[in-house]
Amino acid sequence: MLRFESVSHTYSARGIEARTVLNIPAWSLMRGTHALLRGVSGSGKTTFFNIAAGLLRPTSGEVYLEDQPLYRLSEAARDRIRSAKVGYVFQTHHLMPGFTALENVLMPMMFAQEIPTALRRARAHDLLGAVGLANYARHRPHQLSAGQRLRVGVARALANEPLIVLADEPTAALDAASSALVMEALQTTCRANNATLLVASHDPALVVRFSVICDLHDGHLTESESAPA
Amino acid sequence: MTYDLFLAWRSLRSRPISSAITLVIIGLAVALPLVVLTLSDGAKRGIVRASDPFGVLVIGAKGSGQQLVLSTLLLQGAPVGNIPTTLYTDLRDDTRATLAVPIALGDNVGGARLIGTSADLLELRPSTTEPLTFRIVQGRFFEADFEAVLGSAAAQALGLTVGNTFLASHGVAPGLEEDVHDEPYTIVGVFDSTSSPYDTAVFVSLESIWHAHEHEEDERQQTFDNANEPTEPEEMITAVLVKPAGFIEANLLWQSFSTGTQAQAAFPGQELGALFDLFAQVERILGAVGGLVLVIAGLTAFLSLYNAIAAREGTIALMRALGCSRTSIFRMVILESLIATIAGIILGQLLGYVTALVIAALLTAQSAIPVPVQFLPTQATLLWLTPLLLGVAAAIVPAVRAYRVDIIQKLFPT
Repeated sequence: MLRFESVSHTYSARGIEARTVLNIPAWSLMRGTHALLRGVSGSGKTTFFNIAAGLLRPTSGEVYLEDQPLYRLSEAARDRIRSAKVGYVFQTHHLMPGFTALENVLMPMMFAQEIPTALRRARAHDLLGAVGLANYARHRPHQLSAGQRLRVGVARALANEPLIVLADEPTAALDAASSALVMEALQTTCRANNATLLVASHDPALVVRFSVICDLHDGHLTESESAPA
Repeated sequence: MTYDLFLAWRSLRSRPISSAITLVIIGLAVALPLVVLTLSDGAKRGIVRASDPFGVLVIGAKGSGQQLVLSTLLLQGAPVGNIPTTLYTDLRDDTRATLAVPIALGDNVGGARLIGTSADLLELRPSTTEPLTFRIVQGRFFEADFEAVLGSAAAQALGLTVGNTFLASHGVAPGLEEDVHDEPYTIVGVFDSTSSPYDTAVFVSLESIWHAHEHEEDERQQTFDNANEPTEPEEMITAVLVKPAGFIEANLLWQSFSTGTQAQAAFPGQELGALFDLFAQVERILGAVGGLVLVIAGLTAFLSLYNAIAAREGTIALMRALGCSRTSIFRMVILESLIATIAGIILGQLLGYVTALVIAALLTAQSAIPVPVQFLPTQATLLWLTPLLLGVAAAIVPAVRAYRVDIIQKLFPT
């Protein structure tokens, strides 16, 4: 489903020593798998997600999403795949400032044009309800708490029924109850769609929710199976 | 396309003040040339229409042909001078002319010009196929001295009607010192509207004018009594409206007066054409000013959009991350500018036509020359296309900036 082949990424800039943050010879995730990506701050988790989402071309190697080589495709084709097949929960919520929570959730549906127009609004309301924000649909980002904004981000990532959901620290700013709600929404929706879920988190409480645990250390990825809860 | 439009519209709404300023400046930039072009066109049409009911050659004193036409047909400014009445009687009997109408200007009543003329006036018509220009709607035409017929607008402005009397004053317009003639005029009729400045005039017989001035002449004779015997006051008029028998006769008449020393003949069309050349010069200057304002509007739109895009790079990067393509982003910025431009053009067109209508009404009230404000298809197209092109041009650099936004740099700054 998602496959990394000889992927490495090096940050280099004039006057700064080049730094390789990712070096993954081979790695893949089957469709429908729920995996947790762990790693200390600066270990390259966000870089890993950006490469997986088709946002950041790796220095070398290729990423396959459903056997499509993302970086051999045109940028426009990658945009189309990202909008239709990838749901991304950003570490910082990144909501559109002038738009309501509902409109923020509608946004990826407008870009992808996969879901019929007539169904979009109802789906956006359902998703907001699933993350506990049914009564906040008309609120704008500045009228929401950090946790609520993050939950809108989760609802938005699920909008297009993506094949893969990448969630970068989705529970970092949430209390235990909200964290459980968000994780439940993510996992339930992904299970319903047989979508792959990859969550980056420091939260040890989340380990039990995942069947696959990946650790990123010094740019290297190791994978282990989680013990059942 | 639908979401491009939606996002462009929302983006404009998210910065209401800057969008409103852009819209108003574009509106003003469209309204200014529109007012100039519409009024200029209206004035030309109005002047042509005002002189149209006569369809004549104007004979008057030597001097400016333009002044002769303006003062005689449009009742603007002072007459060029006087000519002997024999010119009128000669022209009346001239085979080259089918109609000669004497015009004697010089007096007014409450600002309305008093026109001394004859029953020949009633024979005037724009062309042989069209109805007579002057039609009595109330009372009758004057038959005796010191009887008067009011133009339709003069009747309204003076508040007079058939049976009323008035005293005329010397001069074509009211002066600081009232120089009122002693003989009262009695109104015997009112004309229907002719849609010309003649509607604002009061018509009396030539003899009435002469007799009124005869009295003045007598006083002058007594004051400067240096003659052995009193002389008859010379019977003068200011112009003769001549209906030539044909094209050749018109040119022959014009030629004979051009070579003579007694008077001049002026073709209204020719003289008004020269006047319109002046209009064209003014139009060119104001057109350049309008163009400059349009460029300023374009720059304002550019600055507003460029700053907005600079401030929205994070949002644009987010849209890109959510799957919006670069071309959609580019299109969205162009659409944003087009929406503002189209709204500005609509505002400008409304503002332009309303302003032109108001100014035209004021001009008509002041000059009695109708200034019709009409939709000008060519100019309207130009005033749509030029700002639209400017709107697109103003959006290109901001759109390129938006197109080039780096998602990683903006969403994940290190």
